[in-house]
Amino acid sequence: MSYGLLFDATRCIGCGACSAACKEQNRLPLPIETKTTAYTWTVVEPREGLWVRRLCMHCLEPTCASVCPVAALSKSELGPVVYDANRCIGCRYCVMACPFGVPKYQWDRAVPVVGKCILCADRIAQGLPPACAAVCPTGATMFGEREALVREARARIAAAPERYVDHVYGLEEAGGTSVLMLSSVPFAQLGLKTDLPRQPLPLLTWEVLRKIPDFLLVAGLLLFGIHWITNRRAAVARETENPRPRTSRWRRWLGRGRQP
Amino acid sequence: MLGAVRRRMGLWLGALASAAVLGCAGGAAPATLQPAQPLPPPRADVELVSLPADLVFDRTVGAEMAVVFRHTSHVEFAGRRCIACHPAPFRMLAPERKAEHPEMDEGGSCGSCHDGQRAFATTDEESCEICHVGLDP
Repeated sequence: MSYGLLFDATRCIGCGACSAACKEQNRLPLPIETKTTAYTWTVVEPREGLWVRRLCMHCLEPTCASVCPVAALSKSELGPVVYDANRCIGCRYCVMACPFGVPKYQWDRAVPVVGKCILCADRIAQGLPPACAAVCPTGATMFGEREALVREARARIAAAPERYVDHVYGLEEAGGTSVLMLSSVPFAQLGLKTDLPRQPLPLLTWEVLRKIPDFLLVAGLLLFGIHWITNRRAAVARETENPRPRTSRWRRWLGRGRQP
Repeated sequence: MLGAVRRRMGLWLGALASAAVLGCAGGAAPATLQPAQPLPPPRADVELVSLPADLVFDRTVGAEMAVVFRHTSHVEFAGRRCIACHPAPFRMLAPERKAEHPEMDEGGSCGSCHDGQRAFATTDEESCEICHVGLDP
């Protein structure tokens, strides 16, 4: 059972209730900034006469969790990509790796950690919707099971094709995300990335990494074999007390090296 | 001997450099993000379908003095900006069911808007019944 959010940009009025509730729920310091920071995990931005939410997309296969060397980020079974600040070493690899540019760093702290939307994972675990979805006065942010949200999004497009771009953002972007978006203008104009690969980004590194154990095994065997043969030849030479010239045929052919 | 001294010097130089970097990072004021231009007003063409229900404050002197707070009469006044009142002074998820005159008369709670300039003052004796509507029997 995996939950997510459906954000409908045609219904968002830009009131900022989501940001305010997020601040309260996650005990983040005020003010509500105009861009996402380590202390403001979601904002609404004006674009093309619409408002669009900025928040973690909660990828089905998150790149941030894939690159984190200490597993501070992880995808929970209920959908949220959660963050454990106690494990974080502050390397900022997640900040670099996220295809949506979501994790933000506490640049003003001496011992900083990362801040990002965690989809109110503890509220979801209690059976409550995330704070932003709970307070949205227009229903622009809707909480539910991801499959149900995909059906709802498709139903909305089918019911009013003139009103929506025929695409559910997040269905396939970067392998699919738990946060889905609908819009009446092309998503690029909302400042969303539209050139993301359709397969999960961790797959790129996995394609290389999964070959490494085999490679190590074969290369190790090869090196050990060479070592064994060389030693064996030296031992035989010592035992027979008739050392053959240790010059290779190749060097003899070249006319260099010791002659017998 | 000399090598040890050199190594020690290297350690101290490294520590000094780290301290300098840390000092700069800690001393710099956090950059507050100010909008380059004021944000446009929230859209007015979408219906507010799920505003919270009316809040009833009935711990007043008698039920006829109870106060009913209506979101519908406030959100348009605030230009549909929920952040005008949330999360400060009013929390959203766990609201305090308390509003007391001494506090709001000094500019807290409701008084942060009801100050006699932006809206009628909480000390204005002619405005009592605007808030104190009483409960329907």
